[in-house]
Amino acid sequence: MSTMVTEGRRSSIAPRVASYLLMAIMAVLALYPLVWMALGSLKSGGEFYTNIWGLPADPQWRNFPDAWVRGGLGIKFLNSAIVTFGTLAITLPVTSIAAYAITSMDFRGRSLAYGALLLGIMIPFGVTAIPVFSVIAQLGLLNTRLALVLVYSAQAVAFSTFLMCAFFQSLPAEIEEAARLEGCTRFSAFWRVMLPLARPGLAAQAVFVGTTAWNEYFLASLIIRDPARETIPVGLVSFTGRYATDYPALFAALTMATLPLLALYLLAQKQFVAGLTGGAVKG
Amino acid sequence: MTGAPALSRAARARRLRTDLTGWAFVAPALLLFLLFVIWPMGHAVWISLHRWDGLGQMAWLGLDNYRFVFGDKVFWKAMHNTFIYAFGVTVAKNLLALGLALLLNRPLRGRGFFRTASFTPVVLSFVVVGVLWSWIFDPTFGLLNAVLWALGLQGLIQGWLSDPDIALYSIMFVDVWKWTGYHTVLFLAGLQTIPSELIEAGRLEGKPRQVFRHVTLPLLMPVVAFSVLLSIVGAFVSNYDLVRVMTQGGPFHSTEVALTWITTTAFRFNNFGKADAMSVILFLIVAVLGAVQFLLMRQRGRG
Amino acid sequence: MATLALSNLTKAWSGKTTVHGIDLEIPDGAFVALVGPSGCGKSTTLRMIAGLEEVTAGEIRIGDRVVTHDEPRDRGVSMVFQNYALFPHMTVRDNIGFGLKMRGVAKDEIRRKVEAAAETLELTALLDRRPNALSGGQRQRVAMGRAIVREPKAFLFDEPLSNLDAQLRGQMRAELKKLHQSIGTTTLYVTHDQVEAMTLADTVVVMRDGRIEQAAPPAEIYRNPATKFVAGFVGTPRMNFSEAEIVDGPALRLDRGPVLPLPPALAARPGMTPGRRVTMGLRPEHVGAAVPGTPDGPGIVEARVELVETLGAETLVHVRLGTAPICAKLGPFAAAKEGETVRLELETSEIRLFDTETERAL
Ligand SMILES: Nc1ncnc2c1ncn2[C@@H]1O[C@H](COP(=O)(O)OP(=O)(O)OP(=O)(O)O)[C@@H](O)[C@H]1O
Ligand SMILES: [Mg+2]
Repeated sequence: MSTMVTEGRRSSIAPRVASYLLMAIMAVLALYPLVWMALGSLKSGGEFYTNIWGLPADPQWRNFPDAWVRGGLGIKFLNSAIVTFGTLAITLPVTSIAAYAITSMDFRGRSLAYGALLLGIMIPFGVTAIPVFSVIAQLGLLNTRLALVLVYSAQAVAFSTFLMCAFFQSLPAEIEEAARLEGCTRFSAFWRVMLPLARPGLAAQAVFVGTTAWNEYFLASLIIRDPARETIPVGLVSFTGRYATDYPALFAALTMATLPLLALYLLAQKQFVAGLTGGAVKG
Repeated sequence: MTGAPALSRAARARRLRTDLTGWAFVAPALLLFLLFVIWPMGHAVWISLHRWDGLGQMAWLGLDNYRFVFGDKVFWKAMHNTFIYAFGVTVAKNLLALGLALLLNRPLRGRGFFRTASFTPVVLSFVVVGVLWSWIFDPTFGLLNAVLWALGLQGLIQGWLSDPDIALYSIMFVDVWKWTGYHTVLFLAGLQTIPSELIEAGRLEGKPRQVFRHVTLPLLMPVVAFSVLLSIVGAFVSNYDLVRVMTQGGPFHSTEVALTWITTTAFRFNNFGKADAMSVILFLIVAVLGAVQFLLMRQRGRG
Repeated sequence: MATLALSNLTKAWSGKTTVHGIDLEIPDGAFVALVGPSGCGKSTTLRMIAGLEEVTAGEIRIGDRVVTHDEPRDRGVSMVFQNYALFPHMTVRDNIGFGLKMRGVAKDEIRRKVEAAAETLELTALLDRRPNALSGGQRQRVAMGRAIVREPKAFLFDEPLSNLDAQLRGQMRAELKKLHQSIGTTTLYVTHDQVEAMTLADTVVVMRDGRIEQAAPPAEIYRNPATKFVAGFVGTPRMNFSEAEIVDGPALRLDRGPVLPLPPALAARPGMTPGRRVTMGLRPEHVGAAVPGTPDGPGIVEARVELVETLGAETLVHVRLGTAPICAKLGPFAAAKEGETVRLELETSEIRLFDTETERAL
C-alpha cells in the first residue's frame, strides 16, 4: 500500500505539468483568436498589415464608432433583439403550456400530439431552409422580422417542449393535483403553480433558444433582403462584402457583435453551459 | 336506473372538457410546428416534382428533377464533401473533447478557468467565427502564416483557403475549434456520473490505461454515442454558415457542401424544383441519423 | 361537513380493474380509516373521491350532491398527500391561504383564517418561511393547515404520517385525533399503519384486491374479523392460523396436533359436522404460559420452543403445534429457551374459525 502511494506521488508531478501545458495550449487556442480580433479592431489600416500580432501601437478607438455608423450596426442590433425576444416571447409560453398538458393531463390523443412534436427533434432544420423560404414567400412574409420570429419559434418548439416535459416530469405530480384541489382550473394550476416552478427550466431554454436565434444566419440571409431589417449575422456578412478592405473596421464590428453574448456568457456561465448543453447533459 | 344516462353524460362532459383543454394547450405549439416545419417539407416534395423558378408558373416534371440531381457532378462532389466534413469533424471533436474532459476531470487548480475558456467559442455565431478565421487563414496577412513564419516553419505556410486540396480541411478545423468545448462539457458531465469508487477499485487492479479502457470508457459509452450522433447530425446542416462566409464553396467547388449547392441552385440558377429535390434527399439521409439520435436520447431520458 | 357516500365505485385501467364496485357510506363527522396491503386500491379510491382519477363506474356523493364527474375544485374536499405536495415557491402563509385566494376570499379574511389555522397547528412562527426551510413534521402541519383552513366538506388523507419517524408519528397521531375532535370534519384516512387506523378511526375499512373485506369499528375488526384475511391483517404479531378438522363433540383437531374444545357459541352453530375442514385462528395474546402445576386438560399443550424473541414488555415464543407454527405472547422475560419444551395454555374461548374454502368467519 505505502509503496503504491509514494510511487503515485513521484510520478504525479510530470503528468501534472503535462496537463497544465496541454490545458494552457488549449486555452490559448480557444481564446487567442478572440484577443487577436479585439487587438485588430484597434489598429490603423496600415498597422493591420504590418503589425500582425503585436499590440496596437496607437489604439484607434474611433474604429468602433466608424464601424457602428458605416455598418448601421445600431439598427442591426435592434433587429436581432426584436427577433430574439420575439422568439422567446412565443417559444417559452407556447412550449411550457404544451408540455404541461402533455405531462399532467390525460386527454385523448396526447401521445399523438407528443409524438408529432417529437418528430421535430429528428428534423435537421438547415435542410428545410429552401422549403421554408418558399412557404414564407407564399405567406407574403418575405423580408419581415416576423417571418424569422415565427420560423425560429417553430424550430424551437419540438426540442423545447421535450425539455419542458422532462422538467415537469421531474416534479411530483401531487403538487399540480394539490393546486387543482385547492381551487385551480387547469390553466391556473399551470399559471400559478407549474410555471413558477419551471423557472430553472425556462432559464435554460431561454439561453438555448435565445442564443440560437441571435446567431442564426442561414434563414435570415435568405428571408431578409432589406439592409434596414438585417440581423447582426446577416449585417456582418454584408459588411464584409462591402468594406472588404477596411479590416480594422470589420474587426471592430465583429468585436461589437460578439460582446453582448460573450458578456452574458461570462456573467451567467452556469446557466449558459446548462442551457446550451440542455437535454444532453440532463439525462 | 333513470340516473344512468344522465351520469354517463356527465362523464362524457368531463372527458370532453379535458380533451378540449388539452388540445387547446398543445394547439399553439403544434400549429407553429406544422406550419413552419412539416408543411414546408411536404411543400418541398411537391415542388421537387416541378420546374419552378420561385416566382412564375410551375410545370410538372415528375421525377425528372431527381434524375437531374443524380446526374449533377457538383451535387455528388458536394455530398462527398458533406460526408467528409460530417465524419471528419465528428471524429476530431469527440476525440479532442474526450481528451480534454479527462484532463479537466482531475482535481487540478484552475480547471474552472480552462473549462470556461474552452466553452467560449460555443457561444459565438458561425458568422463571427467564419469571418475571424478567414483572416487568420489569410495567406499574406493572416495570423496563422505569421505564426508559422515566426516559428521557422516556413515550409508549412499554405494558402489555407485558396488551395483546393486544403480548403475543406481548414473549414473543418474551424468547426472543430468552435464545438470541442461543447462536447467536452458533455463528456465531463458523463464522467462525473461515474462513481469514483469504481475508478479507484480499477486503479488498484491495473494500469491507468487499462482502467480507462475497461472501466471509464464502457461507462461513458452512452454519452459518447449521444455526442457522436449529435455532432454528425449537426455537421450535416451547420456547415452552411462557415462555407458561405469563408469560401462560398470555392475554389472550384472544393468546399461545396450540400446546403451551399442547394442554395446556389435555388437562388443563383432559380431552379427551386431541383433545389427542393436535393433538400428532400438530404432530409431523408439526415432524418435517419436524427431518428437514431432521438431514440438514444429517449433511452437516456428514461435511464 | 357532509356525509360521503360511495356506491359501486369502480376503476379500471385499460381493461384491468383495480377497484371493484365499492359501497361505503361515511356519516357526517365520522373518521374512517382505509387499510389494506400495498396495491389494493386505497389511493385509487381516495383519488377518485378527490376527482384526480376518472371514475369508470359507480357514484360518489358528498352531502346531497352527486360529484362523480365534477372537477376536483368543485367538490369541496381537501387532501393531504404522503409527500405533502406543498407549493415550494410560496411561503407557509401563501400555501395555507392559497385555496382561499383561489376562491376569491377577501384578503383580510384570508389573513385572519390563515393565522387562526397557524395558531391551532403551532405554525405562527413559521408563516413566512418556504417549505424547504421546514422539517418533515412542520411540513406535515402546513399540509394540514392548508387542508383545514378552507373548512372543507371532507378531508382525504393518503398516508400522511408515513414519512415521519416513529416518535413524531405518534405525536402527530395524537394531534390529528384532537384536531378531528375539535373540528369534526368527515374524514377518510388511508394508512398502512394499523395502529393509526385503530387509534384514530371510528370505523376501519379493510380492503383487499380492490374490494372491501370488512368495515367495522376497530374493536369489532379486531375481535370478530369477518375473514381470515382481515384476521391476519389486523394485529401484531399476526393471528396464528392452523388447518383443522371438526371432530365429535363438536371439538377441533388441529392437523397432526391436539384436540381443542370449541367455544360454546361456535359449537352450537349448525354445520359443525365431524369431518368438516376449517381454519382455526387464535391471537398470540391468547396463547399463554400454563401456570406451573396446572393439570393436563383441554387447552393445555406441550410444545418445543423454536425461537424466542425478547421485546422487553413481552416475549414472543414460537412453537409448532401439529403442522402449524404458533406464536405465543408471554410476559416480560419469560423463561423459555430454544429447544426446550414449554407448557402452554390456549384460551379456547377466543378461538375463531374460518371456512377453509371461502375464508369467511364462521
Ligand atoms: N395510472 C395507473 N395505471 C395503471 N394502473 C395503475 C395506475 N395507478 C395505479 N394502478 C394500479 O392500481 C392498483 C391500486 O393502486 P393504488 O395506488 O390504489 O394502491 P394502494 O392501495 O394505494 O397501494 P400503496 O399502499 O402501495 O399506496 C395497483 O395495482 C396499481 O398498480
Ligand atoms: Mg397508495
